[in-house]
Amino acid sequence: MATVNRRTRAGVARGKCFEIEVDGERILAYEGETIAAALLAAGKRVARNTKKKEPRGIYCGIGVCFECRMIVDGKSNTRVCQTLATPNCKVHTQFDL
Amino acid sequence: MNRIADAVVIGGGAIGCSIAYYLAKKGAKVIVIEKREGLCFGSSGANNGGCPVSAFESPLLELARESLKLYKDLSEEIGYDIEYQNTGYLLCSVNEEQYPDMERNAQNLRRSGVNVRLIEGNELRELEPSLGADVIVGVAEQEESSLVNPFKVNYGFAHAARKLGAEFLLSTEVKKFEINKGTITSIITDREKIKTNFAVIAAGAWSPEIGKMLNLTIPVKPQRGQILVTEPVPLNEKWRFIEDAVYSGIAADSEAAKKSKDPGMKLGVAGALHQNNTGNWTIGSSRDFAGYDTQITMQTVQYLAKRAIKFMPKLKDVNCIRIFAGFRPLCYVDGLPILSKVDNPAGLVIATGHAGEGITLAPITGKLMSELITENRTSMPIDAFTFSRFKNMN
Amino acid sequence: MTIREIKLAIIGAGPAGICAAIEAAKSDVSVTVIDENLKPGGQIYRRLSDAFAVTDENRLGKDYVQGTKLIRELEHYSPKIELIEDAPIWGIFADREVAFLNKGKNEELKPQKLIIAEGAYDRPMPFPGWTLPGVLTAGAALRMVKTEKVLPGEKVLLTGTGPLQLVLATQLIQAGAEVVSVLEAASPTGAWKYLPQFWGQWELIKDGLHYLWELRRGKIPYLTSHAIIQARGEQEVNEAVYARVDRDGNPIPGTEKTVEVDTVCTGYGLIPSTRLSRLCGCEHKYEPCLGAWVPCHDESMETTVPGVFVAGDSTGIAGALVAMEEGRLAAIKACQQLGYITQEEAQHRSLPIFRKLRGLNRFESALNRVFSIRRGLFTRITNDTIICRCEEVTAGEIRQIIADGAIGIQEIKRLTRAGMGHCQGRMCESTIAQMISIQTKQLVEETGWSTPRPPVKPIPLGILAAEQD
Repeated sequence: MATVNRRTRAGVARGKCFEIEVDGERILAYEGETIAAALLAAGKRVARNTKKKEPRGIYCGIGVCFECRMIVDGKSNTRVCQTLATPNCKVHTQFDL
Repeated sequence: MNRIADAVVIGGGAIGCSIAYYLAKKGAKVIVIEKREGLCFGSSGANNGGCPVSAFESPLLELARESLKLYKDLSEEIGYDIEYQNTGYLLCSVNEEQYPDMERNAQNLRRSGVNVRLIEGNELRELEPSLGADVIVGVAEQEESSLVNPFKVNYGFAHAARKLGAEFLLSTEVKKFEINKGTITSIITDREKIKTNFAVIAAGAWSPEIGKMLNLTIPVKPQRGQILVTEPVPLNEKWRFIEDAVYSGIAADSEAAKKSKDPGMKLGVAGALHQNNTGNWTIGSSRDFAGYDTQITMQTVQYLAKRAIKFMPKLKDVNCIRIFAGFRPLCYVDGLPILSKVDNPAGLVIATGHAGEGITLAPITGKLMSELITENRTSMPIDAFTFSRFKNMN
Repeated sequence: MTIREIKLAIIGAGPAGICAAIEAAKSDVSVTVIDENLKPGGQIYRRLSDAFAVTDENRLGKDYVQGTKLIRELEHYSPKIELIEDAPIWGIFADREVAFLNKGKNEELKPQKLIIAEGAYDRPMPFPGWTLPGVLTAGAALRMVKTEKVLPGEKVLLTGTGPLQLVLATQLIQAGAEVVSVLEAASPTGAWKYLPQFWGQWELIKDGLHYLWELRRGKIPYLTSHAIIQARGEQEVNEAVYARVDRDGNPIPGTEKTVEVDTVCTGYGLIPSTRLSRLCGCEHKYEPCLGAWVPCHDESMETTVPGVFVAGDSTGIAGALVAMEEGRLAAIKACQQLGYITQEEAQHRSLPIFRKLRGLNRFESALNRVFSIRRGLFTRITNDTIICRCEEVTAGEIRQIIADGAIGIQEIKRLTRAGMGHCQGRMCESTIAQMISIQTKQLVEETGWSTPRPPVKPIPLGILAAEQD
């Protein structure tokens, strides 16, 4: 389980807490969070590796740059900044695409 | 400013630039006139670079095969990478009724010496697991057919022609011809006059406009096609060039397509799926007549997608990231290109009407037209493509 | 697939779209609003998830409170407003036919009048190392901190130009991050000559001063005439190099400083999203001080395509207050054209809005001028800096093609594949236009753009292929 937790609390109380799996590692997520938020909260910032093997992560945050594409529950090219985390969803770093 | 040329090529597409290159190679002083501000603005910039032998029958088949041979070493010859990939192709069918057409197509090709193999569905899927269960049988050709990058072909020929002294006049339009004693002596553009011995009309779907200036009816009209582009996905194992068997029928016979009850057929949807080595699939194409309009239409797009998924079910979950459209310069009399000198006026050569096979035929067109102009004979017979077959219109 | 015919469709449920909807509902016009996000609010009024219980709205910031008010008004008119959420619009076809994805299906609407409020996004500004994970836009960081309540990192450098950076810095500090420095590329001396244009907009000036005060309080260096010149790291950014820049944005050699960071937020202002307005065939013009193309429109927000209106930041960056008024104007004119209100009533309702907008627009255009993108910032780009992030095309490749004679974006796209990836040029077109202009001395507006084509967002082939009725 990731030890980093970069969540803030001001003005809100989060809902249900659950686990998701990222490249085999279990990390925490909260209902209503995007997968991107859960990843950042756990200090994970590499979403994919390009064809030229360069690491990429979240850039625009609003779904227009397509940099944060990961494999979510078997589906490639899923923008994690636009996808809500669900209990036990499996997320993988995407390679070569 | 007035210029002088041995030959002026009207049209800066793949055909025009190929002709310019081969002419320049023979030492001719060539000027290419292009009305747009750059290259690839016509059909050459709106296709997916597929060069299959399957699309042809004799006598055009022989020209196509020779053209494909020229492509093999073209990058090295012109010093410009056209991204040639000897992918071969698989022509396959999801309808039992197409079996006779496919057999006939295979026999025709074999008779001409093309090495094709008929493969049944299950073996096809063993070789290429991404093929759908609906695929019944396929005809595969491995040695000659290829994919190229059409932009690079257009720019590559231009680059090579320039290196040999050809001049390119962009954003320039032909306004009229000067004729003396039945022979072309000059071309007048919107900027200047060019004295020349030969004028070559290689203006694709705009050739009729140029023909009109000479009181000639060039029976070519734009046939629209739409193509879907997907995001990159891992490369297919065996075949990255998959054709719907309908392609070999519809490409030649738009009348039959119109009479069909299948709405997809009516729109001339015939799949040609190509996967670039970048991983993107381009899914073409359709055939309809909408003038020079290159708008995307919903129905066509839906049928293109539907047809593609039948052949490769995994495409269902792949994203389309772009759709583009262009048009083919189709000779509406017989579907064959026009590669020919003209009797009147003398000094005029027409090289257009390549329909959907302009990229495939670009190298051989350039070579043969350069021979026609500089030697008044061609190394391959082009009688079937003569302009004089339109005597009744001219 | 049946195509639903309706009176008025609004694309985008940000401040412009919401106000347009409310204004139309007030005139008794039924309206359908389509938005790709899960909830209305756009970027500035982005709502928290329903699963997050608000315990203290005051801790959520002024924008959130304003957003709440606006959403409540929207809900009040809900009998007249159909809101389709989580529905990316992917195409607009002939006769204003709008195609969008809804619950996994392809749907189409044919409105008599269409208001496009597609918003804006952070201007992508390349520099060496900008593609490293941990380098993200100010907009992305703001969304993470404000809405997702997550810090994008712990040791943050902000670099860019304009007031949005100040907002972000304040938010980051309040959320507990260490803000190492805020680099502002503009110089303060330039701002004075625009003082008269800032006059009258006291709320906005107060806001700006408040953010500067927060930085002061946190003892965070706010360095004007400075910009990042490189982000370094292996798998993520761990170091940044910045330098002083001259009035034109050129880094001054010898002034480089290196700082350890784990996050870089780049805030170079916003550029209008014009994918949909381009697709409709609307004419656009290039705004040099914004450094971006905007759709042409009359004072009622109608574009050059009859029946198609635009509103909000997609018409030019001017903030939420202007967006709301423009939305209202567009709706008023659309309702008049639909015959629901008379010309007199339309004029009566529009006049006070015109007045309000004059003052607001003066302020915003002054801001845009003060914080315009200085050309010198593009000299940071080395030959191996990635320009097209999707296709990994470097500046060197593009510069070579330009040197070989390419004069337009389309040509560069064809020969390098820049702009052919998932984002379809959103992240690279504006930069490539500047690069062509710098290298060939052409005006940016002469560099053209890539032919507008659907889909504006990726759409699975299976959904495209679904059976027709």
